[in-house]
Amino acid sequence: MKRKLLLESILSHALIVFLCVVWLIPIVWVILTSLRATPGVASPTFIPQSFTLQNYVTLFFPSGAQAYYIMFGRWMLNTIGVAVLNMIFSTLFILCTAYALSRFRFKTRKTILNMALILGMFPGFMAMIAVYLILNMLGLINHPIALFIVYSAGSALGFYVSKGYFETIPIDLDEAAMIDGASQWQIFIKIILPLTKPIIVYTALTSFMTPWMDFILASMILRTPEQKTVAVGLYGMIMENADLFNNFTVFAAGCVIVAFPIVIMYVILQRFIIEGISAGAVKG
Amino acid sequence: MAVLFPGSGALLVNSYIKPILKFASFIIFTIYMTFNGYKFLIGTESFPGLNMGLYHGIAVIVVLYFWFHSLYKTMLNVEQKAYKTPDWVIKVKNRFRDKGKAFRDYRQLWKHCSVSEKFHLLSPFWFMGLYQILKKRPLKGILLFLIQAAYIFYMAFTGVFDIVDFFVLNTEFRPSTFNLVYGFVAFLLSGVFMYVYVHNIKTVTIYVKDKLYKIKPMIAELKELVDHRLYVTLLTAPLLGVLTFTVVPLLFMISIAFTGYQGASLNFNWTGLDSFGSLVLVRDNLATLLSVIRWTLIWAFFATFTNYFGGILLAALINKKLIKWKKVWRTIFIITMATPQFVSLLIMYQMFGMQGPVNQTLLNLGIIDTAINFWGIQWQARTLVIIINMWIGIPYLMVLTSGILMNIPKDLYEAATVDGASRTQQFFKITMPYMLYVTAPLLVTGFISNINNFNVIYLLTQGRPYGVGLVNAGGTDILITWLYQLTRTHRMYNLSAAIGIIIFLMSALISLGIYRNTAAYKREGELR
Repeated sequence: MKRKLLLESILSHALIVFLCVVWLIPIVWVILTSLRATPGVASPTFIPQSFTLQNYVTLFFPSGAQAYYIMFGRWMLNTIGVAVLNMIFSTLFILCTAYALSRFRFKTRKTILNMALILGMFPGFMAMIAVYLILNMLGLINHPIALFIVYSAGSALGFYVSKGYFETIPIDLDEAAMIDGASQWQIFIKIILPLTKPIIVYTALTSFMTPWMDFILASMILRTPEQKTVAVGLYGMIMENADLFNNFTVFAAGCVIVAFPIVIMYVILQRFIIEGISAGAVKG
Repeated sequence: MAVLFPGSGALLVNSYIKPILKFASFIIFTIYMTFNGYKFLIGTESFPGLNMGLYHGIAVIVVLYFWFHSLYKTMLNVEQKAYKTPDWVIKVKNRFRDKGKAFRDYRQLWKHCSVSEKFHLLSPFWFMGLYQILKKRPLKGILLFLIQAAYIFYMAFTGVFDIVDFFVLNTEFRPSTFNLVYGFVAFLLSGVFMYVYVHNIKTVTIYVKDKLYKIKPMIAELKELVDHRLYVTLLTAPLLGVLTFTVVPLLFMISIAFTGYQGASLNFNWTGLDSFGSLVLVRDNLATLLSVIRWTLIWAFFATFTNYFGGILLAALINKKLIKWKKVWRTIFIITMATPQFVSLLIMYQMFGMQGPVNQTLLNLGIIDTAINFWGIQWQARTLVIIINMWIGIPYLMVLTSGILMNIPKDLYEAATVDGASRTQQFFKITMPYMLYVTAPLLVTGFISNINNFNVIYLLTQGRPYGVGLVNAGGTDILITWLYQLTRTHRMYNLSAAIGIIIFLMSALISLGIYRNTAAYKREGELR
């Protein structure tokens, strides 16, 4: 019996280590490529023969023709700016919508819920041409601020996870506070919000991530190199300029720099992410 | 009898209006089709600019559907000897009855009130806020009046023209796209104004009718906004955002599907259903559409189920009792989840490229002699897309399901162990049914979001391989990426909008059918 257990343990661990290796290979490959001295995608061996930090230097201090389209420092600043603004406003919008829809019963509530359901079924960027036109009318094309506006304006539709979470907080709390003479606003700010810290962190984190991950809308709105976000800039580095050979290792270095802070954040805030994602699961 | 006489079934069980309407419309349609309509259908007669054949085809299908439906209903009723009115008919009826009652009440009120009260009652129709001003609430009154003045001003100067241009569409002085957007803005503003207008009439009527009510002062109303009407405050800004950057653009795109917007010209006309027609009636387009739809469904199915079951299995593996350092394994998978998709997908594409490390390693190990063109052959590319999607999606599903896995009551397993069930049996007899029960809605939403999964396909393959005999679409293009290609590369805006509507209809059919019947949806709102 004991030997059987031992065997099972070894097999399970072997399986899990194997899976981890499979999942880590691409990541390891990017890191190795970013340190590789020879340019291009192709490399005769998986582990490069010579290492260099030149790719990271090129990223921030490009020389020659590359200086015209690689502006990584600028892209980082743009992205961080949009991310912070979007984090503040989207979180605010999402929490407000979710709270209103979970705690209040009013005439148009069901309509709003159904509308949100229907809007969610339209392919996300079907409307993008129209968004482009509207931004054009407002004179916001080729400006990162436009991204923040579009992201946070549409954010309210992502209220499901938070709404589910708000609904797990017993209504008795509200009633007790109401008897004590608290207004609904006070209940929201002083009682409910402090109880929903995990979901606030999760919402803030996901909305902070949006501009780092989004590519389609950003690529449509941002045109000149100095206005791009990292996603658009990096994509352009290997796709638009068709300079795959020269840029690929630099691109890999960029990927590492972009992914690094995000990964750190995910690892530190793991607890909130797990809680947030599973809160969304049960409600669907 | 019902075969020749639609609606007769309902007539037999004491219902008159519906069967007569049904029968009349059926007869009228039949007469029209036999004398004139068939000419359009077979194409001997045509109408300039409109695809009459298509309309007639659709009409025939609709009528046939209703005919069969009526037949089916009658048979059902004959069997059960009872005719039950559907819920929505009752709902609509009730609504009309309520409206009728409101009007009768209003007339009663009008008959029995004094001259000054009559003046009060009429005032909101032509001067919003007059009543409030007379009743010593000037701030409110002036505000209402300003709203009215602003609306009239707006309509007189641009609104009316915007609405006219919306219908004309092809105007000289500004692009048709602008006409559409301004038209929608005008409609929306009018809607909002009409709401305020009618609401004001209703309130004034209540005040006149019931002398006990006093108009609340402005301050009190503002206070309510942070108390029991807090939801208004909370929802206004988010909903305005959604309205301008989601709803208006969507309405715009939906209407684009009914225009001739193609190419660089911003001027176009309404063309009715022609863009749907050219998708469905042109042979090559139809072939492409069907092929892309087929692959979209295959893709969505496999992407959803591989990730779902992969995620559950992985979570079950990590949560096994004898596994050590659970946190380490979980963190590793969370790291892969945290890498931005555009990074991991672009990297994956290069990894499986002709010169990528996968080919290189296989060459070095001597397994193959020449590099494999993974993305060059359709079925290979498709398989690879699904496999790589597993890499992307399984960690997420793992995180999602491990919380639920840990919530499965432990005594279920203990009881099963006592009964002598093996671990494998326990997994299939306890874990899977429980998971399926709890996360069934997730499968549906996952399926829908995979139908619309632009990132994985586009960032990986951009639809490659091209040249597989499809019109403007590549071998791995799903509907949504095909839509994107049509927009960005080929500028067929109307066709892509039509495809967007098709995607919507697909998602709506799938999810409304399943989702509305799930417990989670029905429970909504009963939690308190």
